[in-house]
Amino acid sequence: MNWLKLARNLTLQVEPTNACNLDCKICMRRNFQRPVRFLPLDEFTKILASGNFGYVGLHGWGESLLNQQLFDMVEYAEAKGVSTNLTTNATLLEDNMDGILKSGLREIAFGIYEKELFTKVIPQIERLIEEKGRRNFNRPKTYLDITIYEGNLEQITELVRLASDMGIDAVVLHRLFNVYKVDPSVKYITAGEEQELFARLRQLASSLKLELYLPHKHSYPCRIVNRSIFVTVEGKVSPCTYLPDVYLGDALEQGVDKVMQSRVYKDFIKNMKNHPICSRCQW
Amino acid sequence: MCAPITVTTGGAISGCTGACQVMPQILASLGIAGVLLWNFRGVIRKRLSFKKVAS
Repeated sequence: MNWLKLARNLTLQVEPTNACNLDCKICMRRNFQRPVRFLPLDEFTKILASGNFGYVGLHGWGESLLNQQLFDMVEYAEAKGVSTNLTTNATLLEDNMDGILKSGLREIAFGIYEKELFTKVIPQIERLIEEKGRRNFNRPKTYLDITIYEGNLEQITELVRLASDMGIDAVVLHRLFNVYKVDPSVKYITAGEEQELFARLRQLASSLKLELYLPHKHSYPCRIVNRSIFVTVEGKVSPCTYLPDVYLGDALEQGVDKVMQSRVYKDFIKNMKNHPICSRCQW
Repeated sequence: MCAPITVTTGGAISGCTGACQVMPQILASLGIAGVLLWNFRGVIRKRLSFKKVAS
């Protein structure tokens, strides 16, 4: 039995590209000035080999399905015993059906924040679920990943119901990250509204027999930093996707493990509570 | 986009939200129990054989 393997529950989050075919108002990608890049397979394999990871999340500040080598990365990671997942805006599922189903991808999440956008991609998600059933595959597990904010508060119950009707396996909700205030119209919901929403959703999920994941109480060090490490498309290591300017080292030159053992990483974890961004994050 | 799905689900692939999430801890505890049994095997054997004689 491989004891080391059992202890691996760290997720490596790698950004396959920072190119995107959408311009969402809740997305902080709007703030970036980074040149567009696509991560090549050889750099991905080098990054993956530089640490002991249980999972790899193939997404960042771009639409992952735009990277032509994405499924080669999935196949490579799965062959190495690392479970793969990705979050997509679901607009390119139709063109990538074979890759999604044949590569061995474990989990796919459809990231949405409003009903209007979701309605446009419903046919593609339904086709994927139908094709998965037709081929008798149990992978990938499908998730609807909803960002909660003031503008969709009244839509969330309906979205969860819709996900269940469509045969999506699970629903994940997470709080808005709005520290950079990308769009002034995008706002958090209040703690009272959140409590009410969660109670309603728990009841609904139980009646629909739907797997539901609600956000946890925020803590320091937070869940993201405790469970994952982020590598940008340029190979820079950051403790979190929401900290695009906090680079702790280079994944291609130093390796992820080395960066995570460094003093600079340990100091970041120690002082996270006082960090100007982390101290205001509610995720 | 956002943080990986495994951050939220705790790596609960295929719907595992129960004991398999703490499998490393369970296996580690079993390991420790095994080491303790091995370490005190002499005492345990003596106790067991004493009981046999007594009965």
